[in-house]
Amino acid sequence: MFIDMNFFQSNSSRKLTGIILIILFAGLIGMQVATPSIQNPAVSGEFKAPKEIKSIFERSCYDCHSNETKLQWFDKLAPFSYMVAADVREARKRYNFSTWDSISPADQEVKLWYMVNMIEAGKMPLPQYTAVHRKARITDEELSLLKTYVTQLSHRNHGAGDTAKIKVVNKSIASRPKSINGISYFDDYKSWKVIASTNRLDNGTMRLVYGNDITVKAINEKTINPWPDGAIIVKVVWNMQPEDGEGTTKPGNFNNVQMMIKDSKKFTDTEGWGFARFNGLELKPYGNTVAFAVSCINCHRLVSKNGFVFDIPTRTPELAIK
Amino acid sequence: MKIKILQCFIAHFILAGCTHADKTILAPEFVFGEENLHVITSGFNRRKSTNFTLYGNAIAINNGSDSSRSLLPGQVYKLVTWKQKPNPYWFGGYINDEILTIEILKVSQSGNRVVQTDYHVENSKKEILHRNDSEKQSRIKFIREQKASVFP
Ligand code: HEC
Ligand code: HEC
Repeated sequence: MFIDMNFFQSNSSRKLTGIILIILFAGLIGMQVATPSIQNPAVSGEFKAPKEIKSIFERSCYDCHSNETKLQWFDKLAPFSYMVAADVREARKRYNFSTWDSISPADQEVKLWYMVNMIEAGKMPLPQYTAVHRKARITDEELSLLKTYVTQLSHRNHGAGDTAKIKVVNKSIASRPKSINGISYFDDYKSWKVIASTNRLDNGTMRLVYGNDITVKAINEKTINPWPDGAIIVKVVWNMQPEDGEGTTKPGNFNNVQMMIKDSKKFTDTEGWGFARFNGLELKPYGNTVAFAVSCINCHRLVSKNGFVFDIPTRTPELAIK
Repeated sequence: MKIKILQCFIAHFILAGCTHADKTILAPEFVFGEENLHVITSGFNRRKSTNFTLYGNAIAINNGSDSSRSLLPGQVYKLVTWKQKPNPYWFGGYINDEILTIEILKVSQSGNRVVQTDYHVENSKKEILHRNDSEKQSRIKFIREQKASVFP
């Protein structure tokens, strides 16, 4: 111990400590007076779901992701109140159960799967929040209820498969559409290796994920966190056709192509990855402002330990502890 | 309050411990790729928990006919089948696991313009797996029936 105990005994230092404490106390009081108050705007387009599902979200998420924030007394004390206010502001911006109707049913579906995966990854509700609001914790049973709910929802929406006639390429389309952040479409990936082949219940699509030589080399050498500059990953997405008699599902209409380009100097706001997405056979660039890529990386942060890439070939450990 | 902070710390360490336990084990051997072979199409089978990609050389690729592919000398097809598993990083997703089989179909021409097919199946260790004639014929039919996926 480096503290000289005599220091606290001496008269003059006692006085000094007293003064400091008074200043700190006054500061804290001052903070309480100026403490941010959280407004609850009107609920305009409330989230609708079966009661047992909705009540889970109400208990665990509504304090931040709705206009029905109910704070505890300790949330209103500075300095906590400042953090709580910032979290609520950010959380409502990401999605808001009170204005749920303002986003399209397709976006609602995406968000619901995002929620389930954030809960499963232990990222939501925010751990610093559940540490003190213990009732907000989500049990394993509740998580499986939510999983069943989203699975059934998507089965209703996509279970039948894409039965539309398969459209082919219209050669007259401008060949290299450009994303707002400057990334242009290219089709070199067609001669690259496929690093993963995936499909998703949540939106009825199947994908091939291509990697350039630098990407494949990084996988071979197991140096993916961070991925080396120059790595490029391209994901091609098709709608699923209905399952055939043998249980085989084949790609139907082309849906979109998505790209991730690693350049740690250029894409500093998004962990060194440049994102682009081109929709439909006309390859319409996705995103109205360059900030669209922030929403891409936010979700890809779920796999920060894989250098922000989901689809990598991995072996399941024999004795996985979960 | 102190106890809560302590609990929070302990919880944090336990969580960190868990992430370590399911450490990512990269499996480059699941990646298939050969020079001169490009993707023709892909698919998966939820009942069998498999997914597959059909590759072909240039002559094979430029021959995506409507009902059945015509067999032309020089064509090489490789149909790779993987085991499929839930995506470990996204609930709702499925991803290929290890390679189960590679089916190889080569088309050649013998003497009097007779087109000949040579079909065999290997596992990921390049060991040849036995198939009887009718099995072989039905797999050749399967390959010939695959329509090319639409790429932009
Ligand atoms: C204490 C406040 C708080 C609570 C409670 C909370 N969240 Fe969040 N949530 C946030 C904040 C802040 C962000 C944005 C920053 C981040 O991702 O950490 C966020 C982001 C998200 C996102 C990303 C959305 C997007 O589009 O970027 C999802 C999904 C999410 N939360 C789901 C949930 C779910 C589900 C619950 C309840 C089980 C929940 N959250 C409870 C504060 C909260
Ligand atoms: C709500 C979460 C989420 C958002 C938002 C998101 N992604 Fe992804 N992305 C995923 C998941 C999950 C996968 C892997 C599963 C799959 O689709 O095959 C993935 C895979 C990818 C891949 C293949 C490489 C990899 O990481 O596996 C690319 C490329 C990609 N996304 C690009 C984008 C782009 C571009 C955007 C923004 C326009 C975006 N993503 C937004 C969840 C998201």
